[in-house]
Amino acid sequence: MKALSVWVGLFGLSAFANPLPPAEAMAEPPLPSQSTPPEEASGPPQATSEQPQEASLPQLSKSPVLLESAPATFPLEMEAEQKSGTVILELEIDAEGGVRKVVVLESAGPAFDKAAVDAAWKYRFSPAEVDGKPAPVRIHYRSEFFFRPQAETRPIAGPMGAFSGELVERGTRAPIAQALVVLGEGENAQEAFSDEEGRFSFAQLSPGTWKLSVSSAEHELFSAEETILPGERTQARYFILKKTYGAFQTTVRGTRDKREVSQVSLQQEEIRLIPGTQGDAFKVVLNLPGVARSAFSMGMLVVRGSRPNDTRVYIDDVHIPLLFHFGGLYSTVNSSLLERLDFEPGNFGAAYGRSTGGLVKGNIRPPASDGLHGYVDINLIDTSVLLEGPVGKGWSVLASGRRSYIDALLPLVMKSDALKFTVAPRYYDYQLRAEHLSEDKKSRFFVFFFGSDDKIELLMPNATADLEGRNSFGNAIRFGRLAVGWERRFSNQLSFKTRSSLGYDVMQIALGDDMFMKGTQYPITTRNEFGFTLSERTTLRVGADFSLKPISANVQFISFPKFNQIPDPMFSRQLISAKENYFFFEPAAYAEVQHTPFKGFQVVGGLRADYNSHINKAWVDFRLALSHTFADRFKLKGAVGLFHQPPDYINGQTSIAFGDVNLKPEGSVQTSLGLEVSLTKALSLDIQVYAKNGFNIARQTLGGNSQADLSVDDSTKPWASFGSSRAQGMELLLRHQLTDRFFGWIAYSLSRTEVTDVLYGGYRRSSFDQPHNLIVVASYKLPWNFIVGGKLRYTSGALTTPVVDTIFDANGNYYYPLNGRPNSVRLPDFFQLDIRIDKRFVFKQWMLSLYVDIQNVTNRKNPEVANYNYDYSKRTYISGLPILPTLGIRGEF
Amino acid sequence: MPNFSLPRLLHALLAALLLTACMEEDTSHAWKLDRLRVLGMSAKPAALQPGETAEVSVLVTDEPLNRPTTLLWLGCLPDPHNLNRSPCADSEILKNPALLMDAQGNMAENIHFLGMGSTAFYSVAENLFSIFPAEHPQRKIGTVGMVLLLVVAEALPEEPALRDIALLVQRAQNKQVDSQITLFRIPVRESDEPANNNPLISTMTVEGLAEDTPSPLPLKQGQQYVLNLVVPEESFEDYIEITSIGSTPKTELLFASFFSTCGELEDSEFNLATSVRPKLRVPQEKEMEACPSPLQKLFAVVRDTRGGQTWYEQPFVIIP
Repeated sequence: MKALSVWVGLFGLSAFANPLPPAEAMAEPPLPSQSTPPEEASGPPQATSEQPQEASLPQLSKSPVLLESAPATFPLEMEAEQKSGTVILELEIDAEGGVRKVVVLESAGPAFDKAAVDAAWKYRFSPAEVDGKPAPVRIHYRSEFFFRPQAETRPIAGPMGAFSGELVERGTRAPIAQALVVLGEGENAQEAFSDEEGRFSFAQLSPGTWKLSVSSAEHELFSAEETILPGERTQARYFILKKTYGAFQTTVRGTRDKREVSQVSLQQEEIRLIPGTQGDAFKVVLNLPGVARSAFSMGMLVVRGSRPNDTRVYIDDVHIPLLFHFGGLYSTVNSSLLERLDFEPGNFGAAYGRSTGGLVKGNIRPPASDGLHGYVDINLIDTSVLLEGPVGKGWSVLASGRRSYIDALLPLVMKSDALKFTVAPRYYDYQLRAEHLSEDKKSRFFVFFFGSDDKIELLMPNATADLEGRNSFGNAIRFGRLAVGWERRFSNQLSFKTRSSLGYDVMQIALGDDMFMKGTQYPITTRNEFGFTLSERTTLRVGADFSLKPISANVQFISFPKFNQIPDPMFSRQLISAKENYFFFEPAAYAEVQHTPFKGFQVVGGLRADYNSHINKAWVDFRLALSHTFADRFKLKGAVGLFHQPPDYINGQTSIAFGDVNLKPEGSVQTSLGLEVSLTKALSLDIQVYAKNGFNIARQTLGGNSQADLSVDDSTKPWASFGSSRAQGMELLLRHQLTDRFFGWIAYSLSRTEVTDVLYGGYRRSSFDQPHNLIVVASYKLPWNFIVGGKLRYTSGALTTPVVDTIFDANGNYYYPLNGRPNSVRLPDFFQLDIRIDKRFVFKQWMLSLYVDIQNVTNRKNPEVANYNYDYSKRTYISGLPILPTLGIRGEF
Repeated sequence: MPNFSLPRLLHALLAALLLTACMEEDTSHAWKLDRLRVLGMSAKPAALQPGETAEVSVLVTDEPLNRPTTLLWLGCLPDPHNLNRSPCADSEILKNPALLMDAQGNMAENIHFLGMGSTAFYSVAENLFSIFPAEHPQRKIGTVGMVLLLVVAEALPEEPALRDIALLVQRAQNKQVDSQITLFRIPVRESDEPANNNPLISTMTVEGLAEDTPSPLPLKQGQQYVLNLVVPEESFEDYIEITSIGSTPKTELLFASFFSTCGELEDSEFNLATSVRPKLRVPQEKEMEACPSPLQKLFAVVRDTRGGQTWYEQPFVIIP
């Protein structure tokens, strides 16, 4: 009897959204080796894999996994001829995981082909997912037929043994599925594939020592020896080293898919390794084209020249008021929880509104369901921890938190009698999440509780700046959200998603005992959206987005000074006290259609209607985006849209006492045009131009003049909706995707941003104008788990307003500057080089990472703001951080 | 209050605290008298009721040149609504003093020429608050009268013509001559409370020297001295602060600023209620180039919470 071995492997996954593209658009055929070549990702897929022609198409978010296989029968005629052969198949797998088409790509002869095809029809896979939804895909599959003559076997005396085992990824303890396990050698060799839980088993084994080898596309080859005992089942657990580590993947997208004006997709591995970002995905956004660098690298999102408050940040579709602690240290939401991060610098779709800037949307991933995982990350500034795992059937939970210790360290470093911290700056944030995924994977439900708290209080014992004796300052910002989400795919034609939240936001600032601002709001939001697939070419989304905000403001402060007035330093005679309570009601409805009239051409059109009860204004916005893919590697795209947002009530612009409740909603017309080119498999280029024109922008008004009639109560409010703005720019992104060893990109923005010149008429450069913005990022993996990375940033210097003269304020005992033309002088340009070195130690059940992150390696003194002496006769600069090494240690399991 | 975003303000504050080492060194100090300066201004009485007049005086130094100076006083009508819209507080006008006074010496509306010299008189109309009903709170909250002083390091003839004055103003604006423009506010309100008094300074003392040491005080080269002011207790006046929020009983705080023509001053500004006191380091012999004459001066200006001011001049001589 001849024992024959049949070896099958699974290679070269490539995924396409419905409808399936023609065969010639497929990925490259698999290579004739057991391991998957580095260019072809076979693990958890990248959102943009190494297939340039798909860089701009919907993204494979989950590969199909073989659940049921059937061994191919070795053809008798081939056995007689003692021949071996390899058949490469193309399988079309439907959205339920069934095989619906089998095509032979490389034949090994009719007999082998038929045997391979017959077996393939019996395969069953778990459904692949594209953009998070089950979708039909096409894969390559390789069947190898080996002929091995069987030697005569001696009968074995005594009972047989059995062997079963479990394959676990070293360091992460993730089960390794679909790995080939070969037990024995030569004619006695037996083979099995590990299942989804990494388990495999062999039966009817002769007692003795057996050699074992494990091969998997993503893992190093593993070998061992096991002793099989008669009448017993030997069990083993193997920890196998992964070739490339990156435990969770977060996709940072430049814009949402389907409408892409700019798009960057990054893996969690890339995010963790970019110098100067401390592995914070939200900070990576600050290094994308279209985002200006802010002074002292504060985390202000200045997107295409917009004010920071014009860009909104959402976590699971819930708006949050603060993205970074203390303006830029770390994000207020643990970015390692992100499954996906979308950044849209403009021209976003109708589903979102109330913003004329950009959009940052983070989606939180489900907690781990394959076992208990977590990490502890300790660095010089704070410590963060995470714990997650499965609970019950279908449920998984996570808990995460971060707490700074600047408050403990700062008083040790700063020994000054002039300044004492009542509460040294400190921050913390927390996240608790429970999620349930239905068995059929069609429903998902989560509850997410998260929040953040920043606080600082100072006491200046010998304060002389304020003649009324105010010598203390305090600031606190905290928010919390309880969010609930549910989504369900009812059918291929209908889906539904809902997100609701309760929240609280507190912002307070105090100067002395009699000047304070305290605002508390309790936002209640709900977003509900239906998705309809009307045909193969047309989808429709309709939704409603409601926000209710009870707001309580207790303010005792001076009014905003007019633009040209020298303020009176005696605040007490100017104090205005106001206790204002509001109930904002902001309903919105939207509809968006995506249509593909012919292959490669897509149109997305949307309408959105909003209302704001506080200013009692409504508006309707339209959005339109077009894209055309041609020659398989080029994509031309463009968009135009109208955007509105309410005036900034947080800064008091619509306060009854301090502002003007009759301000108009601010608006902006945005257009963009771009081209994406896939230069090679890993290299892509994205270039686009944009224009934004803003109107009805609230601006500070001018004070009276020498002819003012003092007998009249001047009712001119400090704000009025007469401002306008204009911004134009070009953004370029040349990117090398993450391969085995290297990733990087070059991002460059050229722009001009102007606003209404209140004093002199016409336009002047905006405070956020930054003509040149260049970022170069590169990271390379060295042997022995060392990783070296660098980031270079060059930007135009910040604009500043020159001081042309001064007056001496004899009441305040200080010189007050008389300014020249606003923003008419530019500080020297900014240049900074950061490097990062990681060393990873991979143990059986956990990993340890040590890293050194050195910011400003060249120790360049980058001027951030102008600083003057007491009478403004001399100007110096306050520079940004000098060379700053940060050490960190992270243990994860 | 400027339009700010709270997180940005917070971070800016932190950045300023933490990055002071990253500033370039500033070798100029407010306490150092080495150019034309206005150190203080005072009104008697320190606050006015409608119909009253205050005499305004000023402390001007021009060390070490001691040039003859011209002092031009301008006054802006008080705004009964206290909306800070006076041309005296308009930065666009102050950048161009010619807007206050044209080439012919004509003043803009709401601006009055108060005179020249070391003092001037500022009067408030009796019917200032007549636009308000009798019990309107604004009468008690009050407003401010504004005085502008232009000090020019150049003398004018004894009885100059308006045109001469206008030309001098123009020369000052063109930086053809050293000048300093100063803004001073005099509180004006109807009140039954006792008026604010300017604080008093009995004397300046130097640690290690007897209180009755005759002036100029002898200070040794290379030594550091702790300075102090003797301020009578009655200068810390109790008062009722009336604002739009209500009335609050308070006690005045006094803040002192020290200046010197020679040496190094530390903690030159302080709250008299604290224990902080300025320290003067007298230069050593090898440093005396910066102070060629052994006869030098110390000045102290004291301000109270309600706008009252006073000053004290103390000569000292540097001895080996």
